[in-house]
Amino acid sequence: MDFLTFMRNQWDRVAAWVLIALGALLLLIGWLGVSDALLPTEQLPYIVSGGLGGICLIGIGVMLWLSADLRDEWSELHEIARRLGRESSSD
Amino acid sequence: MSDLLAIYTTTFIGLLLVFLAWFETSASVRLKNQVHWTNVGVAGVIVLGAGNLFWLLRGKRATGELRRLLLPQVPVEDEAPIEAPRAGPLVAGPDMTRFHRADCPLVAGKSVSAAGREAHARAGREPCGVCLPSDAAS
Repeated sequence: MDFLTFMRNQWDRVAAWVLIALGALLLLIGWLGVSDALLPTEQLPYIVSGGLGGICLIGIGVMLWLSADLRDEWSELHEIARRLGRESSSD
Repeated sequence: MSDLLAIYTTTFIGLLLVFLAWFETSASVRLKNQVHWTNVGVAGVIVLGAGNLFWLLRGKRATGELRRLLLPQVPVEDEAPIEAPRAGPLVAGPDMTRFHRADCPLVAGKSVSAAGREAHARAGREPCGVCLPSDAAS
């Protein structure tokens, strides 16, 4: 399987990993920003952008990953349904 | 289709609220104002999380319903006959509290000696829960 086929078939898992990595990076940047800031008024923007933003991206990534698993299961069930339909029509 | 619309809408609203919260907290220097907008950001995370959770639960339910619909239609192959309990020596080590079949993986490579069921019982040993020597006809 070449790279493009893999990306086309597994786009949601690839997107999930990208989003999870971006979310982790955002959390790290937020933490570094909060560590360097002295005043709470300077820290809060980092908490919102890095903290909440990172949590959102990780959440979307996890949802995409689980959704991909469900999609695979759904496809397998449809394949079973298709075969069952073919068998019953040939009987 | 409505589920897809719901996940897109909640994700968009959630991200928009977080972005708005970041924009406003960065623009303000008053702590009270910032806390207010931080709360908006938290609300955004909750909206986004609830939307995602709803999407996953709907997907899980849909696959579960399809599975329940299909499984009774799948022809069942003849099941392999259940293997009769094997007779054989029952083994245990001197410090063991359970006795096993000789081929039990829990005694593989251990120094054990064979004895009768009564001897193991007298030593206060109980049958192993993995190899079930209580079923053995020894």
